Amino acid sequence: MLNTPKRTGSIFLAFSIGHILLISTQATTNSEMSALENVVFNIFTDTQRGITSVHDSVTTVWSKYGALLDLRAQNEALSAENSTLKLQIQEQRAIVNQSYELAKILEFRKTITFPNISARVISSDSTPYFRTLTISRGTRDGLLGDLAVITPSGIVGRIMDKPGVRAAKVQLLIDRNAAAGALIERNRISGIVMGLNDNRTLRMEYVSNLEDVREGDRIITSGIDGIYPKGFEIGVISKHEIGEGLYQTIYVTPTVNFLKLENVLVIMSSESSIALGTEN
Amino acid sequence: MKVSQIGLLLLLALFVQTTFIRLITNTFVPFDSMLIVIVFVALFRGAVVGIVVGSIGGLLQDILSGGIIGVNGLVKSTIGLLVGFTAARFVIDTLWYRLVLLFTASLMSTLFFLVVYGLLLNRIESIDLLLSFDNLVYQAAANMILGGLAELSFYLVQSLRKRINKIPGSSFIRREWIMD
Repeated sequence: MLNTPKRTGSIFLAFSIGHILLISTQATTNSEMSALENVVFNIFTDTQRGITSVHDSVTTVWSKYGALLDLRAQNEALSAENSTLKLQIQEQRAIVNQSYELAKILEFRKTITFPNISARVISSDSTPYFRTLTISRGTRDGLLGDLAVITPSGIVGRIMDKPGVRAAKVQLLIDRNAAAGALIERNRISGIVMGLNDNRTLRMEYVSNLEDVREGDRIITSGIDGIYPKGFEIGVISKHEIGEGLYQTIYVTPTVNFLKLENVLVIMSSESSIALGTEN
Repeated sequence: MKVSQIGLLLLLALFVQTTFIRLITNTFVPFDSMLIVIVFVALFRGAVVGIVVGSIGGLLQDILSGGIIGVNGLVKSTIGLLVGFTAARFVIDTLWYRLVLLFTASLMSTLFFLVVYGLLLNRIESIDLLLSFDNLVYQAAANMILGGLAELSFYLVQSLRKRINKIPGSSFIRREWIMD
């Protein structure tokens, strides 16, 4: 029988070897999602989807309850006719507010010629170290790895690895390991935009010190990465300075508000995005 | 603390981190609620339970995160081991000591995470976070504050239960519900 420190050491060693083997497997191969990972991921994303739905239902009930209270207060103060009219206006305003983002998405969707699918954001990353989200679409809806995720405001990120059956992880452009081919719209100078794990700042790399760069210049996707279609907005240059080496240091404020993402569009085919890129 | 209670705490931490906070504030959380649970479990149940809970909690985080699966498992099991050993060798009987331990464990967790990513997996670009010292301290402070609030809430609930149980005829709260 092992004594306690030895037993603890053995258990720790066994677990550590297990973890290192797991990491090694992923580091050497670019395999699809394992069966265990797939099952656990699906179970948790279903639960997260459920929690989001319950939250939506409670919010709806609460807002209806609030509207009823408003109606009562107005009935006491105003005539019945005025109250009814005011309530109608309030209800319409509430509906407009609730559907504003969805309408924007739908309108935007009509303008896109290549196949796309809308998805709801159901959860965010489980650690503070990465900037990823989980969306409510998966392989069942035809999603694949490396598909572009966008909103009417601009580029959001890409689908990571192989998605789950009913959900997929999205690596946001602000993640420190994310990057996208980019152009300065005014003079078509190209570079690469990279994430910094900062919600409101990106960095544009590989733009020569000799190039003409101005604050306020719009940055768009170049399509060179084969993931993001050409011509979509990334952000606006907020600050730039001459670098010590060959390249400038350029900071970009993204046009997408990554803290308020609720609905997104996934571009379903990388071939179509390349086609769009050649048109522009 | 029973196994089922530890399991529930892990799940609660995971859903707080990924879903609840997002629904309320629409933001990326700076703290690591899973780490807080692992530190407290290792503190009260020892190194072996700390390793097991750290491994399971870390793996769950890995599966729902954008990183490589196993890194958080390795990091969190090591933290479970270290906190368990510290608790066995030193008397950590006040909230302040526990908060200092949580702060230190948070710093070590982030540093160890970055070292594993940067060296073992040869992803040097991730190591630059090491230079961002204020970011490290900010995360550790957020964990410490959340951990402190969680422990105070736990004591508050226990105190309320005891008071209710003292009222004659109030037998609706079962004794075994109170954590060991």
